[in-house]
Amino acid sequence: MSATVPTAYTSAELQAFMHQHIGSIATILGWTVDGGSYDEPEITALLWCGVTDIADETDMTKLRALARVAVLQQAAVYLSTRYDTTADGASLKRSQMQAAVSTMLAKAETDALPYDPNYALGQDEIDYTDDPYTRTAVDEANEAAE
Amino acid sequence: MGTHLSTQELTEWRADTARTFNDSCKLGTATPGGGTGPEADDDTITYGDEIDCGFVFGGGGSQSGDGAQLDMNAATIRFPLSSDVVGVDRVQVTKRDGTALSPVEYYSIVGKPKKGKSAIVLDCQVLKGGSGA
Repeated sequence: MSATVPTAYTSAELQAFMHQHIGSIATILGWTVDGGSYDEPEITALLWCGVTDIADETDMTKLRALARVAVLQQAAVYLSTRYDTTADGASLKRSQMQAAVSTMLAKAETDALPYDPNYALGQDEIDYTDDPYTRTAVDEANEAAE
Repeated sequence: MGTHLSTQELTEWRADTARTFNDSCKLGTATPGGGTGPEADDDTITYGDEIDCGFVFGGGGSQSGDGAQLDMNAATIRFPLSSDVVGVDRVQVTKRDGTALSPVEYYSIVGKPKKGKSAIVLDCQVLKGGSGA
């Protein structure tokens, strides 16, 4: 076996990645690539990437990170009605699925932070109009008198 | 009018319940034989196809007149709501957690099937012998 690192993704390949990423959650939710279950997460990921054509996104790490967030967000919503149940002699702790996905989502969101434009860090020069520490003519005169 | 569970919620609930059925069973119906005596034991049992079921050995007990604890060998077996249990007299447990039982186990049904929100529940009692008939 050998894995090939992708340098580009088609829509089908990205959806296959998302399907594989959520593992058995996909089985529980009945999600399939052919059934269009991953269309919306893909659209969300591409919008976050700032592209409308998947071929235009060349940063595979960024695309995968944002696709993970998008698909886990959708999974968390769909699992939100899986509350704990008790009936017919069985107690099902179904909320554990929701909790597990929420944990995975939080991790994916942390991993994707560098690609979130709202979280971008940078530096810029700030020009204070009322800077109390600005040297004035009086300061200059006092300094010259010393 | 109260707020009811949606069809979607019930569907998911039942699917999640069915996903816990890790055992396999066959449901059997009896055709009475011709025997008429108090010990007539010639019923014919016909079993259907193997279906998913959830087996729990209840191990229920009862106290005898002299205070001894008697094992009633009770079991509870749950089936998907779609199972046809009308007229069922016997249950053959063929697999537990995916592993085939050899020999298979036979149970008689105590009381009526209980059709609940998420499953059909049969209270059962183990039968000795091979055929279960």
